[in-house]
Amino acid sequence: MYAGMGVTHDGSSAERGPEAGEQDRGNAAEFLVGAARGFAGALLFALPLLMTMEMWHMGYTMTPWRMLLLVVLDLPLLVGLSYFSGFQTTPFLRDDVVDAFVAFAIGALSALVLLALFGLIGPGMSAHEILGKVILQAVPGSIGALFAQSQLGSQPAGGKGSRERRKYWGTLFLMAAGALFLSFNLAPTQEMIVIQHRSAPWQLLVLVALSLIVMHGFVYAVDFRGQARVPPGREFWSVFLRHTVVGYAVALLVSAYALWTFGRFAGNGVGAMVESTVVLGFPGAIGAAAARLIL
Amino acid sequence: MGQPDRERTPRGGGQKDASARGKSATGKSTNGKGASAKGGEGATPPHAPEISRLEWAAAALGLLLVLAAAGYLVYEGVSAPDGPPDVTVRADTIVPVHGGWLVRFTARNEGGSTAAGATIQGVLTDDGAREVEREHTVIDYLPRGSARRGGLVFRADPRRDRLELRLTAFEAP
Repeated sequence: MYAGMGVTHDGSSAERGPEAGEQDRGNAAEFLVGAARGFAGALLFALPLLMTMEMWHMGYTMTPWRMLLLVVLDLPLLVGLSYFSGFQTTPFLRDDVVDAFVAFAIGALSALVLLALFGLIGPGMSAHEILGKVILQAVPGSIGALFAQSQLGSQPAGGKGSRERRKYWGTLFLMAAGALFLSFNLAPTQEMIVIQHRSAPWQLLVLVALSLIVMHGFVYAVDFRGQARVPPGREFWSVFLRHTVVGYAVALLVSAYALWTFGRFAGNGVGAMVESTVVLGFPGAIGAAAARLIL
Repeated sequence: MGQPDRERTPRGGGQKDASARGKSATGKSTNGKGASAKGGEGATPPHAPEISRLEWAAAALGLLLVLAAAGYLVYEGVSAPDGPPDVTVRADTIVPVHGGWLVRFTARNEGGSTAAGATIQGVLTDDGAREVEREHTVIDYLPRGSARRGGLVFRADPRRDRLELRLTAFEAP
């Protein structure tokens, strides 16, 4: 690492020649700007979770296997986000994999620094507690970092390249990512359980309907920038079923996964699980619809 | 730096002409990420932006962190003790304060799982083993392997009597 940086700053690399060194230096400068953008994104998106008490407790109460699954799932999510939402027109997956690992590094580092600044990790705490807190927070941080790298840059977001390569499954993937993002911010909180207990079955039913309406409206009706058009000649029901209903189902699945990950299903009956999934599915649906618009 | 030639000749053809490298197969030009139009030493495929060494280093760090995190979690999963919380409480200092005597303590969880709502109780007994006073406090979360600090205020002077500090109750988080 240090050798690489030395070459970058000297601009004189024996085996690459001065021109290549200059090229590398220019790319390195651009990379640093991108990395700074990544840290900004990690802050913007992960700060609510970094400052959520339940997330700190989850760091050492979550079973290691669930946290491992979360980290393992985070990587293809990052690669996919980079691939589908990046504006780079290159078809090379290598860049996306590199971006994903850089994003994880940024997420982990910003989590480490901020948790230390907040006094949430420090002396007297076991490695189990410190590592658990940092690893758990690295996941949303990495998503934020990657999102910022691809979206907050000087290039217009959701450019032609990203739209073109995205087909039906790509859209569903982005919706899942958006649902994960918003549900992740809410699933650890105690409030989800309170809402679930305060809501009568008919209220939850209305919530399902509202989720679907808002989702469809977000994407097709209210004329946001980046809004999708219903292709001419398509029936309303065709679009509604294939995009909105399927998207809501994806949001529900993602919400259930988030609740399970944070141990919110533990000891609950099937009814309570479905209820909490519907509650969290509402922000999940909003996140899914927003991802379609923004990314 | 020398990469196999096949990476340089995907889609589109016409790659023999070095000047053709400036255009992509789809006709789109690369964006501002510093594309290597020059073709340099031909290490990168055409139109893929050159990845700087710094970026490779950062990616390598990311890979290392992922592997370290995954390795640690697997280790935790395989080896983690799942016994009950087992808490030792040690009195650190005893100082006079308004309202009595402050006993500052450190509670350390040496058991296999986290104790939520860990109740730390201090009991003062005199020479005749009679209870003089009893105070308690609750620590919200006491993770396995970690320590938390707190304090109990007694009216009687704990330095004169026998002070016993221990965990008396908790709940599973």
